[in-house]
Amino acid sequence: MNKKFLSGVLSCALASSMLLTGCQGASTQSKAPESTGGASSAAAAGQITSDPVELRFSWWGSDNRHKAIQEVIALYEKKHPNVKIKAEYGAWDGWQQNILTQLGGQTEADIIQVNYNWVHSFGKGKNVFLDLNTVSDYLKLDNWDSNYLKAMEVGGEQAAVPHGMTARAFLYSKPLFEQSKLSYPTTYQELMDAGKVIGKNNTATGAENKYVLLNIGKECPDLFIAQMLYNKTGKVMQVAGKVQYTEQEVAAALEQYNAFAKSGAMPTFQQQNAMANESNPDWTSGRGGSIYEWIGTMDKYLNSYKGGKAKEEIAVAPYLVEKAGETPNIYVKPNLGYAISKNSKNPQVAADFLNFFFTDEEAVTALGTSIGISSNSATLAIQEKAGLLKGIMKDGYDMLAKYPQTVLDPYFEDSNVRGARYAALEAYRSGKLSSAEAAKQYISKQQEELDKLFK
Amino acid sequence: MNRVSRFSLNAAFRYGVLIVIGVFLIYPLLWMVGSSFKENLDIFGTLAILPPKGRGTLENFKSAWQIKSDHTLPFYFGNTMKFLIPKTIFTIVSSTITAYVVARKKFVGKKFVFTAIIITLLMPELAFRIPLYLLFRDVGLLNTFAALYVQDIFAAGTCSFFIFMEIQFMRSIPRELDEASVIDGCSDLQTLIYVIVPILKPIIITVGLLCFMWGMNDFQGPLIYLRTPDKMVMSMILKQQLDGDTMVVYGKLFAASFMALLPMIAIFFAGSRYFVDGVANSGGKE
Amino acid sequence: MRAGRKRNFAPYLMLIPWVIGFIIFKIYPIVISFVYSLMEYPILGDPEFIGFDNYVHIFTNDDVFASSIAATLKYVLIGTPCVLVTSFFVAYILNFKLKGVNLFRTAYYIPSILGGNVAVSILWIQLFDINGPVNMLLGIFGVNPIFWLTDESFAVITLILLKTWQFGSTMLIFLAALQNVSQSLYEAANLDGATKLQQLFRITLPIITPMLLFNMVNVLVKAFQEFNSAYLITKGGPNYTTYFLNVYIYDQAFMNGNYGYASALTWILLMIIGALTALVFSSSKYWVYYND
Repeated sequence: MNKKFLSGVLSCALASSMLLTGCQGASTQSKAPESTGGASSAAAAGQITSDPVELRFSWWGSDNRHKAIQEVIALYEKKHPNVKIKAEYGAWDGWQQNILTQLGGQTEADIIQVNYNWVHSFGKGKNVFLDLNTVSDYLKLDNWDSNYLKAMEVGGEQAAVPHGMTARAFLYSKPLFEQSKLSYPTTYQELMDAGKVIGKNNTATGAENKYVLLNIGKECPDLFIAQMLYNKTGKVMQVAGKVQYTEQEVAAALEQYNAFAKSGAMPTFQQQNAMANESNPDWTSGRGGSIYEWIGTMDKYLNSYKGGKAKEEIAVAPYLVEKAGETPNIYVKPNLGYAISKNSKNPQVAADFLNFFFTDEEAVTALGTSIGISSNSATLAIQEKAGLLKGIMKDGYDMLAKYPQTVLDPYFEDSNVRGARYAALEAYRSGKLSSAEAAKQYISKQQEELDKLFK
Repeated sequence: MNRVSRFSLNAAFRYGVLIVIGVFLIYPLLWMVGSSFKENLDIFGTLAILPPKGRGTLENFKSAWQIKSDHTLPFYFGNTMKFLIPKTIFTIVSSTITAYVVARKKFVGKKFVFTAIIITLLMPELAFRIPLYLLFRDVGLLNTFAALYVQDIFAAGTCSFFIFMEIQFMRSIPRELDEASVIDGCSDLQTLIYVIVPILKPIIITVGLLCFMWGMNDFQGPLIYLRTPDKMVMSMILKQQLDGDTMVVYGKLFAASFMALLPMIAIFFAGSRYFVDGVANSGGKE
Repeated sequence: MRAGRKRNFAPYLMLIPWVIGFIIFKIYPIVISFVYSLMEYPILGDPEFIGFDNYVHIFTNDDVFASSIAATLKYVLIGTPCVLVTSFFVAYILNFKLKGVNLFRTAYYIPSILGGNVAVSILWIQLFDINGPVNMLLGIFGVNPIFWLTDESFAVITLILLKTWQFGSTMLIFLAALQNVSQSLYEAANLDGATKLQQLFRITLPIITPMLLFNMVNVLVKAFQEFNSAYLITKGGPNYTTYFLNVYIYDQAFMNGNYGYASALTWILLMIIGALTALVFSSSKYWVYYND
């Protein structure tokens, strides 16, 4: 018994030391072929190598995206039998930490799906990915609108290419307004008036409360107010690291926002259900008249509304304006981007794959709308041909097309900058700060964070 | 006669208390299990356990079983076991040995070692993520299950908790027992195995159970150290059901969580049986 | 003679794995993190040595840190006793010799198996909704609805209740300790005519004080490092009243990429935990009973 135990301990120790050394050996071995692969592809100059190449592609998303992208990978591998692409994917939650850690350790995948703000904020104004101009022989950049490309340009380098552009839009449920003999509001004043009708029986905690607009969570109110400020003043949030608004302008917008909530048009800070997503019971039951959501992901609200059994009751509404008849500039932003690692041994192959991803008919069809509607003209043409543009998402983009557009400042979504706005809004909405105090904080704290980025 | 009725009254009272507490603890869980038979619309805004009449569905369980197009739930459970079983074994062995030495032996630097164990216990794990990631990268442990248990071989990682726990526990065991065994001519290792371990049985099982349960729920470690789909573990798969871009099917999430929970409950049930044995054994020896 | 030599070396040999682990997995990363804390260190940029600037900024010019510390301390100081009392009470009951008690043990532990699972966070949001069942239940006793998740003073309570609900691990450790109390002691006490309550305070509690100390330190440390519940349920709000230090550190390191600043915060957290634990330990000689 005693001997048995001893030998157990010994073999454990032995196994663990073998494990360490064994893996070390393996890692040096696996590095060798990669570097020769890179060298020969460089020698082939312009011609994609016929040597075996292994690439890694990382993305986050939901199940249908995982399935779709893996299908595209299989298509590419069939056409290029020497290339193996390893998939690395997960859910959004925690993914940023994962990518940051990998980038810090220079172990990131060759091809990386990126978020708009990552491109700018990760390197604090310096590009941390491969400049895609260096592989533009393989990845055709002229398929993009130059404005859209510019959104993902960092320090003069093309850090990533956007897959699509997206904007917030209003999605409303018709029955609630028909019952009250109202049409969906078009101006901020009408929003307020509709609230007085639809929300007239609302109580402080009522489970049966009705609202015109379910603006809940942190992001929705923030974007709503940002667009409102833009409509009212004609100025964007920030230009070259400077907040553009005065305290009076912000305070006025905040007060108006709170008036919406008081009139019954929107839930107050206390009234909002903590399920700030498509499963919010106020929305799924049809008591919340509308939501303000990214066009690219609107579909989920359609599917959750009354269990997905009343899709015909939902429509896209025009944007709210200050005065009837106006067509203000609407904020848009790149939806998802794709970047190539600076440490990639085979950047040309990676670029070629991305080009395939965006322009191959089979690939684009396989992707469907799992990553949204594209802003790449070649991709869009295929998506249109394949009949992928339909339903509510198409309605949303059609509505957006009626308005002039402004690309959101790259630092609008920087988590520090945005966090400063969130904090001021929450403090005001929960009654902790007055509108003047909150407005002051909204500007000064945001400016402080911007200064750190622009020093 | 009187004694018997007093006894049964007492027992009834105890069962009463157990059941009342149980209701508070278990009702929320039943809601979750019930929700795995519901469609999204029927889940929120209600705390009824059962789905509305005629609306119950088994669809969630079907889709949760075939949780990915290429693999079913047991595949990911298997992956979880691939690191969890070695992790638990290494934790038990290394923690028990270390705890025994610190609690029972005299050696130079004993105070230092004990303090060091306490200090490592306090350190926020988050701080170590990046340095350890770089270390694992350099020794080629990334994307291997070993990255998740290599620390436990050396009594590091979460072992500090367990070492401290066992030390505290050993302190309540009378010293005469191991002194007697030394007089009988046993070596340290023999004393540990034949004298200490049998008495420690309940606590060793507790260490194993806790290590197993905590490891099962750890999400950050696997997320950072493992990266290919064939290495995904249960906690990652459950998290993957939540994504901002498509509608979350909560019923499926609950169904998958419930199925993942069942083997754990079985393991726990089997483990907690040993508490009773543990008592009988140590009681018999004294 | 030979036996004596053997006994001298054995402890050192048996400690070797721990020493290796301590140096590689504890000392090395913590030292590195201290060095980082003295730097302006964006994960992806070039680090720049700035001395104690991070610390100075944290203490003089960081409102979020102040809120975060307040939230963390509130959570720890209220939450720890709640968990300890509940778990001891339940362990005490579960230690009764009753038929089927094993079933209850398992049932009581299930909430803790779920841990920080996302399903639990969704459950909690539902339970503590303004119109949720907790408020309904309180309504029966005439209590006005409480804004559990959006009121500054209640949000942290909601999270403490979750922590208390998941008392399983602590309970399990108490249970193991109770199992180890020799039956002969109770038998002797019974003969002396001691009541159950006297037995609890004179026999049971003193004997398990080493494990009570362990649980106290354990719960305290874990509470200081709470992350999941705040991250998933309240998102740190309202107004940072549940923005625990660990969430702040996570955001600074992995959302904002300020690894240097995050390391400095980590060290402050470490110091606070260290100070409180030292307090617990130094007081322990007055109330912990050791057999050695």
